[in-house]
Amino acid sequence: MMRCAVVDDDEVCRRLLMHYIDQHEGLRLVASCASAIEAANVLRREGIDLLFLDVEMPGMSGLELLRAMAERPQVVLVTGKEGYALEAFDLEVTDYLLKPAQHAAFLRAVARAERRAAPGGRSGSDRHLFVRHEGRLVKLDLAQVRRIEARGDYVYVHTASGSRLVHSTMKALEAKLPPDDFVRVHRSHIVRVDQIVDLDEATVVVGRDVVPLSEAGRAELLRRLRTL
Amino acid sequence: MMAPAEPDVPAIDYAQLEESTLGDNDFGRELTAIFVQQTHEQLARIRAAQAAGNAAALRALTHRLKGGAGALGAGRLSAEAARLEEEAERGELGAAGGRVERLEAFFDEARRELEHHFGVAAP
Repeated sequence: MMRCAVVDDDEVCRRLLMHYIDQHEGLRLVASCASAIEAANVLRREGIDLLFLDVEMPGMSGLELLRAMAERPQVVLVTGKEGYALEAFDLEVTDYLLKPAQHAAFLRAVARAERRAAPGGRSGSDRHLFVRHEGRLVKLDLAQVRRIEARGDYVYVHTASGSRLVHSTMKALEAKLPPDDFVRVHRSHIVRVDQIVDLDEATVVVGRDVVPLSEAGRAELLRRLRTL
Repeated sequence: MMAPAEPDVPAIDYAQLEESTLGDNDFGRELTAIFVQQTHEQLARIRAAQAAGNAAALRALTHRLKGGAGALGAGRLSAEAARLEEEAERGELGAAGGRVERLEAFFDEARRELEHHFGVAAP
């Protein structure tokens, strides 16, 4: 049973989602909030698995709320505008519903959330990876990883805040990364897909770094980008 | 108030209404009561924002109205709110007075249809 919260400044929209949740045997409504600020307080107190979140609200937007949260539950954005898809992707939301939320779309979003929450799905534990660094096992937040580069028996893991030398082969590390998020673009390089700025025939720009592309890596990357 | 003609968009899209209520008329009545009360309040704020020439407030209020009206299938009201929202976003308030009058007329029309559909006695 997933514990849910609904956040929307419009009461009709809020009640509609609450009704959908009530009708779903796999969901339990824990809280409903009329503002992001109220939701921030509720989310600190309650263990929420799935958050249905409006984007445009006075005071604090839904996206501002998400950016302010260190640990986020799965989130389904509910909005009247289509222009938030890119930001939604950056924030790794589970799904995106356009208002008025259709019941079939709601059910699809819940099914996706349940798949992610299931063992082997993509949530919680696979947002992190423990890696060997200077003789210790160190927790690595995968959301912070921009790219990975081979160095003999080691790899450099590059994040927004710096680089870390990790004792692993590329092959072993690649096998433990969420395949939706990372792609091997070269024998010696893995990049995080949502960090890609642009690419040409032979290179891909990740953040501010230029990374070489192999022919196979480029083909794989293009295949992935088409699916986004 | 007689609603202005808007032949392409229904006052109430009953397919959307059925979708939102999942065919539950009790819930439909509850949703209608919330819609009527909150839209009365929103329209008063929209009128005040239009009179004050406050485009930002007008944009936010019409955005919210658009969402609630859309959920109940009030197509004309939602579409007119969307038009005013877009104009307010661009800072174009020249037609806002007329738009607010149309919002009020479309709301009246939607309220009457919803109350009739769910057998709610008018206050």
